[in-house]
Amino acid sequence: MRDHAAGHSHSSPPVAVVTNLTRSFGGKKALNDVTLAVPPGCVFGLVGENGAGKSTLLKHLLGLWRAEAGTVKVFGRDPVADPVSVLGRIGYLSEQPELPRWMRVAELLRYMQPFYPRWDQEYAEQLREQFGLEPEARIRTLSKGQHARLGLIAAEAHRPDLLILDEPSSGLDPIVRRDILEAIIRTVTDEGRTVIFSSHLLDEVERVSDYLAMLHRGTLRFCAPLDDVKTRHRRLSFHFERVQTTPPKVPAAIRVDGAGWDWTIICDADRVHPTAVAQHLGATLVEDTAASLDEIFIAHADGAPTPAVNEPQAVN
Amino acid sequence: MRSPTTALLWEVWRQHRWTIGSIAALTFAGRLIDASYTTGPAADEASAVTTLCGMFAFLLLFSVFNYTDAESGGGLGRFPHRLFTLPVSSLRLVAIPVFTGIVAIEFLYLVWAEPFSRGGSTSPLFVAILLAALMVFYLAVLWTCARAGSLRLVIIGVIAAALFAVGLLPSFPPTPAPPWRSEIFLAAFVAGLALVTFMLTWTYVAGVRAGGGSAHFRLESLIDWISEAQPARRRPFATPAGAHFWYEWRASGTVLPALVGGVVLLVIAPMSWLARTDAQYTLWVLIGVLATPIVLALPVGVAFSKPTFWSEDLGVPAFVAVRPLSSQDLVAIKVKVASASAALSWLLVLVFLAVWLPLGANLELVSRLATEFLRGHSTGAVYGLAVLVPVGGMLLTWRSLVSHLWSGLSGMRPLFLASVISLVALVTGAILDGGRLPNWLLRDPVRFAALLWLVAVAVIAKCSLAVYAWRGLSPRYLRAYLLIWLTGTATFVALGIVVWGVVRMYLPFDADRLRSAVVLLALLAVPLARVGLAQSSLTRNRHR
Amino acid sequence: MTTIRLNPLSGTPLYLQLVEHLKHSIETGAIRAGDQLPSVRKMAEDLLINPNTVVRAYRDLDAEGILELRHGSGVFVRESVSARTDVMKKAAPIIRSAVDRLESLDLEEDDIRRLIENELALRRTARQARKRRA
Repeated sequence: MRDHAAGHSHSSPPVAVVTNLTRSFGGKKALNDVTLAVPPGCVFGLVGENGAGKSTLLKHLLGLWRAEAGTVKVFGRDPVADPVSVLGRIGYLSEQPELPRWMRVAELLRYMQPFYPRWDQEYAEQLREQFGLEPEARIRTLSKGQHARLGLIAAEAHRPDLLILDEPSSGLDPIVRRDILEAIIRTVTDEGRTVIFSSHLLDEVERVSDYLAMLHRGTLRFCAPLDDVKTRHRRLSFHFERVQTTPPKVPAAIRVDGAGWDWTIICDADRVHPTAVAQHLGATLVEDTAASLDEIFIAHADGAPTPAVNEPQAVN
Repeated sequence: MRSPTTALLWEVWRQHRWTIGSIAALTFAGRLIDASYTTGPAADEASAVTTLCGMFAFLLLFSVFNYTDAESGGGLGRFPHRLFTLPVSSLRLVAIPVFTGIVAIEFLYLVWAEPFSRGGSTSPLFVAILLAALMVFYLAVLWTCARAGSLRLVIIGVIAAALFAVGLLPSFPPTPAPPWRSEIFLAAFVAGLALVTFMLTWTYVAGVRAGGGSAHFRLESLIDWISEAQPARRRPFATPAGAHFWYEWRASGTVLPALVGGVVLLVIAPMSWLARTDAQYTLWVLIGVLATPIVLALPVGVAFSKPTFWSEDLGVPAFVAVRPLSSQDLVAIKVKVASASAALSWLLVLVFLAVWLPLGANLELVSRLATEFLRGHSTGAVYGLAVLVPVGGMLLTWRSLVSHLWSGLSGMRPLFLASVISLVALVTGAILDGGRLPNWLLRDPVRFAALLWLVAVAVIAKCSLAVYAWRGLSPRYLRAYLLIWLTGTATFVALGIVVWGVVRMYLPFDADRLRSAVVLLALLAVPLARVGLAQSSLTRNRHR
Repeated sequence: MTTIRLNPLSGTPLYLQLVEHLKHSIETGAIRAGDQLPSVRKMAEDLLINPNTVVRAYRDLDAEGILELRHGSGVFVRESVSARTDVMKKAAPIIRSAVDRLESLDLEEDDIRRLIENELALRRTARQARKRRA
């Protein structure tokens, strides 16, 4: 039985560490001073709106992009300087796997085998049959879902120490999404193996993640265990006696929403005391609940650029 | 817009305004130069420039009539499906580009007819029909073979070469030509073929418009079969390098042998059969066969040096970049695939020679030339020469594939374009200039000495650059490549000296100086530094 | 077991939803005392949730005395659970009378549910605040 992540992660070094990572494309900053660490044996969820920098961050971990400033270390090594040892332990599935269209399914699996010493051909065959992929089918005849499943087998069959999934479920039907989630859970129940995945589908992220990090326009808004994220974000609803023409000013609120008499704020529970705020605003506190992940996401993505909830911390 | 026809044509015009303008400019310039310099001292250069302008004008015309819609994957596309929703019949949709293309190409030919047909014996009408047929075949292949992707260009190239050969047929030996080889018959045959192709294309496009029928799918699966008639890999791979070699070979290594095989089978073999009684033509066919891999390797080498053969994108695809293989290994595998490609192409050529020479060739002229040139040499030397020529040819072929790796793998488009353009400039310069530059250089001892010094400096620069380029790489690869380089250079030096020994008697000037030049040039021939640089190019491209 | 449907987007944490469902199954007799529950891995794969969530649910139920985590053997329902079922049986009439009284005030079903949830939520918040201060 797996130990809860809180006590477990202190003993082993983090799988991936990113320190002060900065990267721009054509003058625009894609990643701005991002620092985070991925503890081993966890499911690390990465969320953010389109263009927030999730893919860019994951590609830095694979060595596909080189850091402009800051360092990237995976398994303690630089993936740019030492690609062979790092990539041999990583399985990667991207949004559009771009597998060679002329290859056949069986040829692809046979091609991948020698690169990874831990490749389990029987396991790959079992998955292939389970997913219903014909061995002689050419990859270009596969549908999008089958293509994603094949990419999943290729990424998973060598039981990688780190499985990186870059928005794997986008545009796929629920059955394929289910297969991907199962793969994530299978990976993480094996001792010591880690999954990093980025997604738009917050319910999936919420189901399987241990840790959650959010990027917004290249900056890290928060990086903490999922439970902490949910407990620390609270949604406070206020009712005012008089109609408010401008949004009420609440310092340390992440987002303020509403109109007229009723206003809602999303805030950090540690920094904001609900009754004090109610008194300060001269309004009645109607509701004080935990914010849903959707609301947290929208608050950080759309709200005013207030400081992030946590200092981006290494390991909790 | 007055009619659908006008609308469709207007669209072509809008899309290709600038290209059409360039064609007009080239035509104008070419005719002007031709008219001004028809006679006189600069006539040869003028005609060369004119020919170049003409060639480019025709090539651009074909790019204007690239009547396709690019698919999402980029590259060449297929018949524009968006036109299917217009209230226009399929016949019209197909006929408009085809007929406009024919009209355009005939018009261009009309304008260029005078310079091109000067001194030739083929009737202009015959050429006109061949050109029209070429346009029909070009569009037909573009539309019906869409599944083959960039392979279509290869098919079109082979068809163009075949039509060129057909154009030469009437003047082929033995003259006078039998009735089936007369211009009239051939013109009718080709025109008929073009008409049939047009009907088939119309049927195909109509079929695609109607949502594809059984005929549509049959054609596509046939093309599938042709373009990948290679056996599926059944055995497991022993090493990662072996697996990736197989991948690169399937992705890019088979193109050159396929092209060489196609040209030898479809163009050279028929010509050799026709020329079997004439000694002069036998010699030409022999030279043609030996030149085929070397010439074809030039364009194939440009595509080969990119990370993906068929794609315009110079980035390393994620599939390859994520392989746990070092960049050194990736480059070494590309070099190995190039060697296998060159070797297989030459094997095909040698097989053809082995079948053709004993059976069908009139070797009178060849043996006469051979005895004359090799008079003084022993039989051992002759056999040595017989081995050196294919090896040298193989090296030349391999060299074209490998020498642009440093720029193609770098991912920097300006660099790649510059190296491609310099190659094109070199080749066209060599073709047009002929022997004039060497002649001019060699006659004057002062100029020649300067040339020698220049070449010597180039050799030193090459060696120092090579030291810099190879310094970070593994000793195993360095040793292996040095061996290849030494063998290749030795081959070229030996070949150069033998050729020099043969040719010196015919040269109007003192040829001893030439020998040192030949040796030095042979030292420059095999790429050394460029292959070493390819590794750092790939590293930079892989980790952008 | 796969008939459990967990809703990650509802206000309740996933592990609590699982705890509630397991408790309900035990009370209604779908799972009996002494039965073995699926392993953490199997449960996680079936429900498509993080194994830690399952671990937490099992641990909570262990702490409450409903489940027993035997190292190496698996997860079993305690024999003493039947005692708890009795407690739950006693609770049912209390709820019934409370709901009767609320309905006599002309409250609708939604109002009643909201009142109960608000009350539980307030108690939960207070508990968490106490825990943090501690």
